[in-house]
Amino acid sequence: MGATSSDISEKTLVALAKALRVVRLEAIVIGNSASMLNGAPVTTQDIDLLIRDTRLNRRKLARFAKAIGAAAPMPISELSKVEWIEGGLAVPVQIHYDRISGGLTFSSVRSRAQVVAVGDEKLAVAALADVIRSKQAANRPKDRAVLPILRDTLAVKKRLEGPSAR
Amino acid sequence: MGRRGGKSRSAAKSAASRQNGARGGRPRNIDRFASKIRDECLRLAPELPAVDAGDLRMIVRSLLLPPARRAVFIARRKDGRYVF
Repeated sequence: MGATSSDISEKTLVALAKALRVVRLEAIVIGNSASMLNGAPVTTQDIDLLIRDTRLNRRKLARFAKAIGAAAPMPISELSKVEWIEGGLAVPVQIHYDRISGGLTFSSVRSRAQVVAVGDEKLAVAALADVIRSKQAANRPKDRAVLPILRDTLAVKKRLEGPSAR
Repeated sequence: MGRRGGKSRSAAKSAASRQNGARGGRPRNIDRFASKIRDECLRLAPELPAVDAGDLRMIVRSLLLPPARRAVFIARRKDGRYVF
């Protein structure tokens, strides 16, 4: 039997986590990739990462791009600080520096992030409440479209994983 | 290390094995997973009346999977087609 979409997505996450570990780049998965890893039944066409903007991290990011066999990071527009890395993985990687919508800083997102296992690797993943807050603040049509299912997932997750869960 | 199992040859044990086999044997993992989703949805539905039943099933299913198995990316192929 051929590889399923879930196998391919898992391999993508493992390759991402491995490259981050190898270059020692501290990054937090945010956006809809974080929503998926938090259990929301959504999908996405890229992986968003939040990192600190330091000279050292910029160098590590260049090494990370090389490690996954991708092109060097490029700004998504002249007006934006967000960068993207194309190639290497099944989907492009989008890099956000220091903060995201909703007044969320790297430190605050990291303080609530959860470390999840992907294969033999680990990834830091933003809390679903932070993803929701960020999407509420960004308020683009694509954010508004996904917010109801994210809110429902948060409500289910609290009950399923809470202290009263069986 | 303890005794290795399966040494009993009693008639009662043989009969029990045959009876369990007749019922279809040990449930498959996929059946157990489906039952777990159903049970959790039955438990949670009254607590979350605002959540659509279909959405609840998808959310519960996703939350019961290990995190790495929850992800589904949409990738764009070189020919412009999108694949899961």
